[in-house]
Amino acid sequence: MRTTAACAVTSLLTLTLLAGCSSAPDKKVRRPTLAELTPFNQAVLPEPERVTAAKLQQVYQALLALAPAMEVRQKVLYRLSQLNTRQLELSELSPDAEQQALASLITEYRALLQQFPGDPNNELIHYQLARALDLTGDSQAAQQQMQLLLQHYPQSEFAAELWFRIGDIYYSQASYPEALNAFEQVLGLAGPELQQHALYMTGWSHFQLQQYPFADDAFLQALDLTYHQRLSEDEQQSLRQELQRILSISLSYQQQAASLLALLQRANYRDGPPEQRPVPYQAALFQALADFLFEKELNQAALESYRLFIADQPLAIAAARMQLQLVQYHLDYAEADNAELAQQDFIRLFGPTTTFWQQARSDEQAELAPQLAQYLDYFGRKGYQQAQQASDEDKPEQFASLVQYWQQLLLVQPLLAPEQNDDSLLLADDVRYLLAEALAGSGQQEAALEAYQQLGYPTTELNARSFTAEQAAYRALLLSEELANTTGAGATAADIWWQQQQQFVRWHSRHPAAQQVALNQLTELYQQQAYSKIVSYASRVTNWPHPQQSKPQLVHEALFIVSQTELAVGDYAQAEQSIQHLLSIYQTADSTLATERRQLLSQQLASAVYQQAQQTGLTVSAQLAHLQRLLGLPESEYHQSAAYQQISLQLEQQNLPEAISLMQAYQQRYPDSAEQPAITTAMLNSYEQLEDWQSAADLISQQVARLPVGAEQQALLYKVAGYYWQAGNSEAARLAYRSYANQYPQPHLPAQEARARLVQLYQAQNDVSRRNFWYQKMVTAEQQLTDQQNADQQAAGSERTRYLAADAALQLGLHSSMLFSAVSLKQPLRDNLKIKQTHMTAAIKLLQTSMSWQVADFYSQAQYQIASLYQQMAAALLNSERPKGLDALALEQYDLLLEEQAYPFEELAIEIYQQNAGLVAQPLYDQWVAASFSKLAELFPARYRKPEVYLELADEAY
Amino acid sequence: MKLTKLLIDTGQSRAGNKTLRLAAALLMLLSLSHCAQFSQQDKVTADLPGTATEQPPPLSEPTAAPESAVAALQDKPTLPPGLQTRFQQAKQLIRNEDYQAALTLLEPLAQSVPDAAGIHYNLALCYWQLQQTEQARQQLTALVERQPDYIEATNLLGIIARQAGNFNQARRYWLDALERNNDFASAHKNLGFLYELYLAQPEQARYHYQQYQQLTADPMAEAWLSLLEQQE
Repeated sequence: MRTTAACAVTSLLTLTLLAGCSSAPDKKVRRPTLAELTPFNQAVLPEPERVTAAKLQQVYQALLALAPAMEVRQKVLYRLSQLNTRQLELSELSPDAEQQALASLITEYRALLQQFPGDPNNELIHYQLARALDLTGDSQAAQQQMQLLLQHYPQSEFAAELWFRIGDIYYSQASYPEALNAFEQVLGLAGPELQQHALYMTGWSHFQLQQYPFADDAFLQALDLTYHQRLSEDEQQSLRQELQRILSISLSYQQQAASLLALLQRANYRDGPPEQRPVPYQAALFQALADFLFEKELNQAALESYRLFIADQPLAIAAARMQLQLVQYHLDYAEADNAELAQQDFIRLFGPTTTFWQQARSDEQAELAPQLAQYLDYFGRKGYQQAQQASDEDKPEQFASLVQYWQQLLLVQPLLAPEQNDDSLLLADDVRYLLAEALAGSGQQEAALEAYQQLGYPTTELNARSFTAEQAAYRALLLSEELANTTGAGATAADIWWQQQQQFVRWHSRHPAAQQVALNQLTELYQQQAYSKIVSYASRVTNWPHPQQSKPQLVHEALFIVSQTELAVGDYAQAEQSIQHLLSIYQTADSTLATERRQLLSQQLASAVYQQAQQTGLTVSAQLAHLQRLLGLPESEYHQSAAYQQISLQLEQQNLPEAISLMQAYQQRYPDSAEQPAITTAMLNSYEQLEDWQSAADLISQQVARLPVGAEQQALLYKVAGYYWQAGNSEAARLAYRSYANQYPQPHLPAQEARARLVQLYQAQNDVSRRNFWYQKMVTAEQQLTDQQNADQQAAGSERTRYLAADAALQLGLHSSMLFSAVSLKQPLRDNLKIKQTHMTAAIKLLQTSMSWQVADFYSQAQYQIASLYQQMAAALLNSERPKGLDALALEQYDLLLEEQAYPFEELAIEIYQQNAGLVAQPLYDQWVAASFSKLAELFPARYRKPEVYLELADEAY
Repeated sequence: MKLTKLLIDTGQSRAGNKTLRLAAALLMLLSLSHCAQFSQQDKVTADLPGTATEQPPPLSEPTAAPESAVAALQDKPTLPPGLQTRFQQAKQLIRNEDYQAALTLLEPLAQSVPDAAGIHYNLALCYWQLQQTEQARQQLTALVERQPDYIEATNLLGIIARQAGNFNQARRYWLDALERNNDFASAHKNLGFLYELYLAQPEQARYHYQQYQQLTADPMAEAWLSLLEQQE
């Protein structure tokens, strides 16, 4: 209050001085510029004499003592009053002294008002009087004085202040409606500062009247003004705090935060709508309310203040802060669940994926980053543990929920200042690794694979504690394998997996699994039959860049694949070498694998050598060399084939003795071989080519002995007989043919051939009886066949069988003819003639039988022989022994009778000779036909004795 | 080779055959008596070749070539004296039926004088008599190729063919000879025999018998023709 008065006095003095200055002549002359002026040396000026208020009072007192004119006196008195007022304001008096001074001034003011009622300065004097009265505690007198002044000077510059003081007095008198009225006067008159106070008091007046919403409005308006007043920050802050507090008190009587929110939504902000009210300002109100409520231990209401503001202003940094306060509250009260919920809400509302985060300034993001990092880290770890402990069914969902934490944490971490990164927090790449794990666990394999791959093959040094690039790369590898092996996976997945393996082997060769991966690639290439790449990929395994880490079993496996590839591409020579090397490796090993490999490789070694022997373009000697080498190896499934081929080659080369030796060995070694029949056949052929018929026969005869009676034995027995025959082993041949002929009369042809051979064999032994026995068998068999043919029109014997039978019949006929010739027609003629006729009849029958088969080779002979028999019979009759004791006449008669008997035979002979000679027309001309002509020339010379004529000697040389 | 069925009918045409045989016997007697007249001119083989003995028929005394053939050889060149002597020696050996010795002379002669048809014919004759039939045939064939008009060689080729049972080939040779010289009586005679006995073509036989008869007035030809008619 004093300050205000002092100011007023100071203003007055200033106005006076300024009035003095304004009396200076207003000459419009050109003033020199600063450049034109000579620099002023202030040192040349005398030190001005200081004029103090006391000295001035002395001056004015001295002036009064001079009894100046009334007008001057009046001015001096007024000046003195102001100086006294000023002096009071400046002096530091005790309360009593001050009361005395005030009383003195009151007196002085009243005297002036009374003495000079029309003085223009009386408005000020009235004001100063009201103020002085008020300062003395005489509120009533002061209030009267103020109302008097306002009455006389309604437009007084002190009106607002006076109305305010009037309202203040009313308020102090609990006259709140009057006070409200006075404050309302102030609001219409005062400047911002006093208006703020008026609003403040208006608020309180409403508050006292329990008109809280009105009070709230007033307080809020007052607060609004604090953001635009030119007061010091401290003053503003102080005022704001007071207003916030009183507003909070007012709100506490209502619906607390809800009322505040309603207030803020309804109360205009200065000249604009409520929305223009700064959010931090609103936040401060909510915060103040919360603080007040906390102070009053209305914690839930306080928390609700936060929540309402957060809900109303979700994009405000203050909201984020309040959320953190909510978190802190729950933590302080050890409400862990609520704290976690609040933290989750914090992440949900203010995390990096929120709208808040998108529009937040970088400093705001940086402000929240530590808490976010902490919470995300916490929830990520917690979720990770839960996911790991979850059932397989729940795991994907658990991991899926984790993804958001790690992703957000990755966004937040860069905002953390170095000092905010404590050791308890995960490092960025650790988070990425966990993110990859979460993605993988939730079934987002492609994304996980990409994450693992980035960590596994970083372009910069990894910032991680919990894993290494090798581990990440290995996870990427496993994941890509899983993707590639998923049902329905396409070629792309397979390509990716392949690339992962490639990268892994190249980047992380020190990884324990790297060499195995390289081997896997090799194996896959082999399975894909990409044989051209096998060597280079195999060398990656065998020439491992870290020899100390190289695993022998993997190297062996690679070498094994190389050997298999060489076999597959037909590089058998190289395969042989590779397999030999592998066998030397596995030789000493006693594992199951080694044992199995040894067995397999042994077989394959044999195969490789065997296949070398099969290559085209080899000489036979080279082929044989390969085969011999193979046969020197341990027994394999190729040995039999090799042995067989060796035989074939030797046969091709016509090395028959060697081939036979090999075949004999083969038969012994592989007695159950399916090739045994072929071998036997080949041996037989070889024996045949070597004309070693005895061996051929011995070979088959063993089989014959083993076989039961049947078609197979029959065929072989026939062969055996043939070979013995060719070997000249007559006895063996005889036995074989005899067995055959006796056991197998059918088929007809071989049976006849066998009989024919028996005939020859017995003939060679001059065993005519047995020879003729088989001749007769042949004839009989052919006749039976012929009879059967005539009976049922079935197939008859062949030309060959007829030939053999015709020959047999002829020979039997000739034999009978011989018997016929041997019989001399001696006495007793009748008996001998009968015998001779019997032989002739038998002979003719056999000869006719021979002729019946119409075999040209025998027909003419048989027919000739018949004619000859008749001719011989005629001659035999004519030359027969004459009975003894006949006289000449009787003998002549006897001779005539003989001629009569002999003549028909001769006639028959001629006729048959003619038939035989007539065979030339068939045409058939052989020795028997020619002989028939000769016989006819003897017996019928007139016709048949016709020798050709020719020149028996050329007499001239030319 | 298949033959038509030839059954022996022992009682068939016995009477007819007997009559025929009697007539034939008369003719035989006639022919034998006539043969004696021709023996110096036209020696024939005593027996048919190709019989069981397979021996060529012994030659009777060699005769000179027929007139027709001699005429054809007129104005021929003569051998040099040394060769001529050998040729004469060879001929003598042939007459003595020492064919092997004749061969030793004739073979070098034939080499020296390849165009001497008589030398080559005699050489072939020796081969034939020695039963070296194939050499004989080759020698004669070569001779006929060089001198187709030397029809005695063709005639002998026909005989060799007939003896081998190559009746058609024999026929061709003899017909070839007649084509060269239709008055070649030996070819007609031989063809007549061939047609009658071996080819069963009596008409052809008759023709050639008749041609032979005209050329030679051989009374045997009449007998052959008569017997031929009886057979028909």
